[in-house]
Amino acid sequence: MGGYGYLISAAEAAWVSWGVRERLIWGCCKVLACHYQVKCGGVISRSLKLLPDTIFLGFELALDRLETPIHYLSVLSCTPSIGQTSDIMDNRAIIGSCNVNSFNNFNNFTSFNTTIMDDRYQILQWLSPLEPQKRHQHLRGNRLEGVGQWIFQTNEFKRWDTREDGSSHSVLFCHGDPGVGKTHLR
Amino acid sequence: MAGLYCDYLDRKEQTTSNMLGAMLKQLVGRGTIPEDIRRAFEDAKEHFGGVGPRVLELLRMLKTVIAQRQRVVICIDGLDESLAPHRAGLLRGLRDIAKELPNVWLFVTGRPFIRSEVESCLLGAGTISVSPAREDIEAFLRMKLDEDPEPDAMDERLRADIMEIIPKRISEMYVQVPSFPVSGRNHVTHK
Repeated sequence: MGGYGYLISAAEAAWVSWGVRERLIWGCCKVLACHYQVKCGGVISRSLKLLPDTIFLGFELALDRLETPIHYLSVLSCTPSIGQTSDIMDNRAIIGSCNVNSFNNFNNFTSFNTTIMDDRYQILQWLSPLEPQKRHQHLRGNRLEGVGQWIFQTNEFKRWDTREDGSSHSVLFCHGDPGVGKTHLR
Repeated sequence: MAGLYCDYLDRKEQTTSNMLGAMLKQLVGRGTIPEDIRRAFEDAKEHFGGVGPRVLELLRMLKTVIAQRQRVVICIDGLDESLAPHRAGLLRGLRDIAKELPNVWLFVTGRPFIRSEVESCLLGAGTISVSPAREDIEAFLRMKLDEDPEPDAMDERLRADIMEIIPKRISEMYVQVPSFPVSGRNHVTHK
């Protein structure tokens, strides 16, 4: 149990020097640890509160933006690679001296989850290598508030949306020259 | 909701199966992956060296997933940017889906030259002609002026001129579009 305390303090001390990737990995660890706390009697949940929210926020943003959290979860299986800077190498030494049993349990737990998650990621990639969600997130993030609202007021949109005249009207085609704003219709 | 952005730069990747697969991926991506998809994946891995799913297989899986939802909206942006044979395959797939499943709403955008292609495949499609709405241009200009890195070079008169002349010029570029009462720029037709 004490092992987690060390792990968390080490992460807290080092997080400022971490790169995005390391923070994401730690974010993943944190999420998995939250699930694991049921078995550890709540010690972790108290310690986790001490972590800067920024890490968690960064993790959540990444989940939203990338839509491939699975990829990051798969990185968990190579947690030692966290140590890329000398500071972190020191912290790895602390982590290395953690309660061995707890740490092993934690690793077992993460690798169990990683297996399931990887499978899922592979299936989704098998369905299609295209990632339209990424483009969507990008456009959504850069769209000016209110642009393209006019379409909701058109009779044609309303007719399509409400299906007033039956199923024959399930398709709406918006045409226009390049740059007129088709992509930015809401 | 499932969306697809076609792109000239990614034409080779945007095959019919990849495009249908991308929609399915979004519909199942956030929940539990249906057992039939998992099984098809395992089969492909075991017997076919992991080759991707075929169009018919994807269509079947897509229909099964859609049938379990209350309402599914499929948005495809820039359909004209995909290669003609892949586009034709996608349109045929969408036609089957729309015909068989009453809970599907299809929203497609593209340049005018594919209009007849879309209308002949997706019978009864409603159409909207899109041109820049004056209020959208004005909102964009306001944002740009607010972000002006040299605000000292701006005065009220210059600002007023920009806000008047640019929307007017852009509107003149699209004079062929009859005015629409709400936005003043968007014409709606119903076939």
